[in-house]
Amino acid sequence: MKELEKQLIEKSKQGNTRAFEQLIKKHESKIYNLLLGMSGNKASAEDLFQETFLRAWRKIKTFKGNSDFSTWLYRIAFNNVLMKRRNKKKIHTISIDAPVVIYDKETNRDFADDWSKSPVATSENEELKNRISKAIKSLPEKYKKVLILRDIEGMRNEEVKKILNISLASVKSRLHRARLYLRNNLSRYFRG
Amino acid sequence: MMDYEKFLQLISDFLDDELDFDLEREFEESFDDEFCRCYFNTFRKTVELCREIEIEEIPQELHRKLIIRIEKEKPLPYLPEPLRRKKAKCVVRKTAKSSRIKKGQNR
Repeated sequence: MKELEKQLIEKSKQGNTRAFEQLIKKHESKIYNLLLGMSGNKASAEDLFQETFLRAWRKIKTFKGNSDFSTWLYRIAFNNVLMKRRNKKKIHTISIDAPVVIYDKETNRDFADDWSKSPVATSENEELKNRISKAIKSLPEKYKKVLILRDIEGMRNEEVKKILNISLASVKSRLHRARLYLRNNLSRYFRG
Repeated sequence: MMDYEKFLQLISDFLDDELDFDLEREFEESFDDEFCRCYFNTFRKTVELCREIEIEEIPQELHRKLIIRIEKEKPLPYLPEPLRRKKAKCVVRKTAKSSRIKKGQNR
């Protein structure tokens, strides 16, 4: 942890709201985007965002510095998402726990379908962006968390492991399944 | 050349540069196969597209609202671990006692 961040945490523990605001500024963008990815809509993301930092503020004195401050914040954010989900009706997600079908009719049609060089396979394509967002939203929670942290927020496997408190093997296998699912989803989009 | 099942299992590790040298060479040999090459290209593109998702700016109003709420609240006082446990035990005891009283009242 950087010295400046340590100082800001110490001041926040003494009730200094200005110091805590500096901490918010440093981490708010990543937390907001994480919550946006997890909830899939702005209104929920904004509620969860406020709850996350308010909870962090209330609990700041319990932060012992055993992990990075960002890791602690991510845990609070995920915990809030989980609590909100518990209070809501079950949201329909697809199941990707079943073994991945390696070679079937669909894969067969995939065979000569290399859409990676298609001129519309670009992040400028709004329709494709929406398709990706929807596909991410439909992922089961445990896969979504790993994919967002790893491929969208650009964290290393080790960091994801610490935040989610799961083994490195679980991080890798969840990420792999999430990517396979997304890739298959996008292939269907390009086949039309 | 490795079979498709093994190829698909290792595709993420290859992309993340986490394969052993020997496996990496074996994996690369799979690119001679059209299915593997196409699958890999589209898989890599999918990950690239995820990485290109733009970070959204936080609405200024949201930041302002949060700061106002924080200024209204004081953080919880810090209790060392033994004290926190003691406090939790007290709560449990109180709850047990009150439920005994309630039971007694019911009789």
